[in-house]
Amino acid sequence: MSDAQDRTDEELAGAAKRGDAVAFDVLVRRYLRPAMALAWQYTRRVEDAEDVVQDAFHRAVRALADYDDRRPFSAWFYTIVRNVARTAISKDGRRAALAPLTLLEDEPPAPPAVDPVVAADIERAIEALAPMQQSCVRLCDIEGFTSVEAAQMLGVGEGTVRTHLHRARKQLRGELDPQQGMFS
Amino acid sequence: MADVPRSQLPQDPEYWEKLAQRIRGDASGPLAAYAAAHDNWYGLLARRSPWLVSASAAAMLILWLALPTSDSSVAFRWMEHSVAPNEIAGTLIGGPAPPSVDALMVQFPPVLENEGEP
Repeated sequence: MSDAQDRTDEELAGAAKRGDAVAFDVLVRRYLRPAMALAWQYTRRVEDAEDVVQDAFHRAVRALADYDDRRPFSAWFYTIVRNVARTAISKDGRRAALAPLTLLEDEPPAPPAVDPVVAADIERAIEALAPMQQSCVRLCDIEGFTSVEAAQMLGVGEGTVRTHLHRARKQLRGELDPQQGMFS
Repeated sequence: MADVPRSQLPQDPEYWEKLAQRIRGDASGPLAAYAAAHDNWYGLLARRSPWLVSASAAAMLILWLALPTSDSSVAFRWMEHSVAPNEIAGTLIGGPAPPSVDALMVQFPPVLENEGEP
């Protein structure tokens, strides 16, 4: 297993293509959280994001026979996640619950990191951003992914993510109380 | 304000482990099919490897036996032509005066390739 951890995504995908369940498991561990974060950008509901991610992994494993392991696995896999998510929301006929600060019913409440009123203001300000700016802010500033990772997940260039982040932060700074200093 | 809004994704490690298990469970069927297909390919080759080795050895032996034997007359003609020019060169260089063409024709009569054959 430790050997598998050191292998590249492409090596792991190549091994999984030959039926190596351990290699696939490492891929799942590496990509589960990023895939959930990406799916959430579309569904805005954790339960729906789970379904999207589960379906995306299922499609990916079935399509592994056609995967060319000389090409980046991340781009290939995130394309599947995005396609599944788009299909899911188009079937659902809605983009998301869009309720600010939707909390998970089955998750034990964590101690709030910020004042709930302020958090709601921030959430509303993020919701007011353009969709791509929202995704960049959520993936980079909230989920903690780097701009490179976010770019891979969203299927755009890193420069595009940086540009959207810059514009989004500028807009958020303008809308939120400058005293809060969150996106400064 | 000191902190950013928290992630909308669950933080409980157990949640992620359960989700990973579900995904692994979904993938087990296709992965088993890949493994079987891969094993079949290698297994087939491995089972037939002794036969394949014998067949290749036999093919090599047949090829070697089927090769034409060396033609000694051809080899001799090659040697004849390789020596003759050296003698002519000796006559041309070593003599006090260059020999005439007639003298050379007498000393080294031309040998025709098909001479003596019907």
